[in-house]
Amino acid sequence: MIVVLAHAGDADARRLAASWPRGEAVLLTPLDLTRPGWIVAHPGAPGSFVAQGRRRATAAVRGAVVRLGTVDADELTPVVEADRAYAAAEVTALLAFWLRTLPRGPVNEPSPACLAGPAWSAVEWLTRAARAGLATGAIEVTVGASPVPPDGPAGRGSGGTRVRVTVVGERVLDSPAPEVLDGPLLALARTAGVGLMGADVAAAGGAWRLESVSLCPRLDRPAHREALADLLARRR
Amino acid sequence: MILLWGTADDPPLAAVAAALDRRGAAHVLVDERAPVPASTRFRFGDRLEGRVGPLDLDTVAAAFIRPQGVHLGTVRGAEQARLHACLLAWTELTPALVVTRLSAQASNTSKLWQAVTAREVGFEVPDSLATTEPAAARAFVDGRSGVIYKSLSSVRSIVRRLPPGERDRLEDVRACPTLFQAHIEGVDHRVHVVGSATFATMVVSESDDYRYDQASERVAVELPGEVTDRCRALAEALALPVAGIDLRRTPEGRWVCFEANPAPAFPYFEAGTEIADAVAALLDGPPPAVTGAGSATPRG
Repeated sequence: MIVVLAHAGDADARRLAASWPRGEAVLLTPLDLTRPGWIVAHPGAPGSFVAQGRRRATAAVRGAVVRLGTVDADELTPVVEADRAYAAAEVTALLAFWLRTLPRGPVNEPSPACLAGPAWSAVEWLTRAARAGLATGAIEVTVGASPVPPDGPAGRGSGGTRVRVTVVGERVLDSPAPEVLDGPLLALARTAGVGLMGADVAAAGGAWRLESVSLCPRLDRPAHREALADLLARRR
Repeated sequence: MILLWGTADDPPLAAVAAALDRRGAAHVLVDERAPVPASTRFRFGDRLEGRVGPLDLDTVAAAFIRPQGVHLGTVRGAEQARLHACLLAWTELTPALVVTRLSAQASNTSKLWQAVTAREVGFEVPDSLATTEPAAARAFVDGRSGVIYKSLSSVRSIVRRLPPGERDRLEDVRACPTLFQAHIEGVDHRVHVVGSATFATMVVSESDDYRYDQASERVAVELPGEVTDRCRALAEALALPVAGIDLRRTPEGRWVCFEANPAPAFPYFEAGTEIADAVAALLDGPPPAVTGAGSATPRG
């Protein structure tokens, strides 16, 4: 069984779970954390979890795709409103442990602060990408004068061709310049400990520049979903 | 240059600042509450650079950071929040020694996550169960002489023992996973790891959670070598240059690990300045290769 952990409104995640070969995938949303059936012991044998409203054996999990960083309080509607923020922190903490200790873990190594991978800000991703050999340009932030937020540098991404590249395991899908981009993108993914990563690149001055990185990339084409299924099948 | 980032009246930060003064080590405070200095700018991407007013961050060899941030109301306004975000990113990317990067502090957001690491370095950890299944909670409770419940996350909660009369309340776990732990009889110990140095303090308290016991007493002690080695290994595995590790010694002499605090409030445990001095030495150069007890005088 493959677990796709995602926000309830994540259409790509629903499509991914529904289209998995042999119907092996189940969708796990935050609402499932508010239902009886979770038994997670430490130390101890794998217990049970809930997905699509049904209790299932954790030992049967053969891999996971995580498409959320943390659980949002707003999604825990069965919990009284005053307690939802606390409950969100609690279920995020539980999921971090549960994902880490799965017999066959997620495609992206979870971190305690981000279930989908490292909790890096946009400028951290871009600086690490530059260290991996990708062109990123400079992101200059002046505090106290020019209102340029560190997570959204102004002036970037304007004009030029923009392409979304998806890294799945050792494959780089939709790369407009494999000889320039693929090696550094794979190096960045390895540094981050992730097997699934989206990267937006833009043509600028005859070169390709990295604009942003996502740990929950669009999976709206069958080729993306097939590559992911193939990656998890090979990890077994 | 050593960077201190936080608020000047934060006890650990103030203690480290005083210890750096005693060493004559140059340091500068970026106070979260202060207005953002003029000429503050950062560069990310192709190069990492930063300047906070007159301070060139390239000159920073080590940083001691205890930012409270927006959620605690210390950071107010867009400019302070922007400086906060930039400095956070800088501390993650700089090659300087940072005590302690927030990415490493994050292990404390999941107690069970930390328990996995504690077990990997050889510590015994309490039997734990997180569940939304009342029957599983009842089975866990019924099979033990005592059970406590507490938060799974870093949201602070008071550790409580489950009274026998509250067994019916276990039905309430249905809507939110709840963490139960076997109660471990014994005496609490806090071990501060600072680089390779360790400082052990025994905490004598009648309460299930000594943090809320005004009558608790703290006494410096020496621990067996294998226990301090495990503490160092745990701090290293969690990437914590400074850690406050909570242990309990059972009547049979076993050492059980509960958690590692990544930003410990060490002044509460020291009567003198030995831990602050060790942190200052760590920031100012090679870590001290001493292992010893803290001060023997409890501090209320």
